[in-house]
Amino acid sequence: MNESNKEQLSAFIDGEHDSNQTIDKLIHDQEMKETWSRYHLIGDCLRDNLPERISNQVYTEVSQALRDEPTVLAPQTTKRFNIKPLAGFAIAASVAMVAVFSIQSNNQTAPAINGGLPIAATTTAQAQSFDFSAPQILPASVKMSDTPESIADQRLNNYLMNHNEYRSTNGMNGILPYVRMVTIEIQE
Amino acid sequence: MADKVTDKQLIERVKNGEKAAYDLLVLKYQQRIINLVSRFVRNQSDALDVTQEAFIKAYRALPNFRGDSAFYTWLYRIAVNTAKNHLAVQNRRPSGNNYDVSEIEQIEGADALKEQASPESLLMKDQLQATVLKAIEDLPEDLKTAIMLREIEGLSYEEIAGVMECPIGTVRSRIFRAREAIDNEMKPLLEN
Repeated sequence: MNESNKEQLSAFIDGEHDSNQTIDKLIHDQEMKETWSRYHLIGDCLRDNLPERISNQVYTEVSQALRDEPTVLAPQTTKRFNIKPLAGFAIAASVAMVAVFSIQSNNQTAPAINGGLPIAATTTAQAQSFDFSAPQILPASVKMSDTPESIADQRLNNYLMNHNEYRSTNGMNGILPYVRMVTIEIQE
Repeated sequence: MADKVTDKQLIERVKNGEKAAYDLLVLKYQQRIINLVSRFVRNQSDALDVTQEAFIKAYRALPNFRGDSAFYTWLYRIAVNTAKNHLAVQNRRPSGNNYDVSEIEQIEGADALKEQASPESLLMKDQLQATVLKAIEDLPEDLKTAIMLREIEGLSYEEIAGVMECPIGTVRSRIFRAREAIDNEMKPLLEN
């Protein structure tokens, strides 16, 4: 081992020489390996890192033991698929889909049933075309003597009751229609 | 930092299947780890066994070493855990209070024999330290300063160049020459 190699080794020990050639020499050249060991021993000695008895026994035995060990091979670094953002997106998309479909079905079914007919007429039609398990509420009769406000209220109530009866069969709306009914009654 | 760069390159080699690169890490850290383990395990022979076990454990676990911490920090933890496990196993064993005097003599004699049987364990720390310190005293001042700043203060070549007001190449050369001079004094001691 020449002076130049030794100087490169010294710099490599200090992390100041980055060369694969030096590592190759170090791995295969026994003399260089011994120099590597002694240079480190100097450092350990100066930093007072030495045990009471200096021994090369550990190196000898570990080296021997590793001959029988399977070669360490690092697993290939595969890019991990991060599922979190996609899962969040999927949940958001599902919620959006449910919301869109529920709104669409509510908007489409109601006009189709009512069909622009007067409330009194549609209520009967609904009772015929749907099998309601709940008792039917018949349209309230409109008295001519009532004031325009009360007539409007009655018609609105009738509409709401009929509408609510239909809507309550739609599982998607849950308790919301009843809440609306109660609200109107309270206002009255 | 310097250690981290060198270790990283060697670890990469080991991970790529070059077992021999691991020998270099063992040679580099064996004294430090023996010293560490000896603080837990008093018996010299046991300390060597525990150190050996720690290095083998580290080798097996190396694929899991991600390099977030320095290799020595990681190895240090493995060595401490191995030493603690060794002590726990020792404590679970039945106590040896039932030995008679002749048995104790035999056991002590066996330990002494085992230690003498290893030719590498003849050199004492004090001997080596005395030799190294004498070699450093005999160095020219510029070499002595360079090697002390590097090995004791842990400065980089650039920092040493700043302190000593000289080019980095000169620092590199001074540190190498200092090492060579110390090594020339130390080598006969290790060979004997």
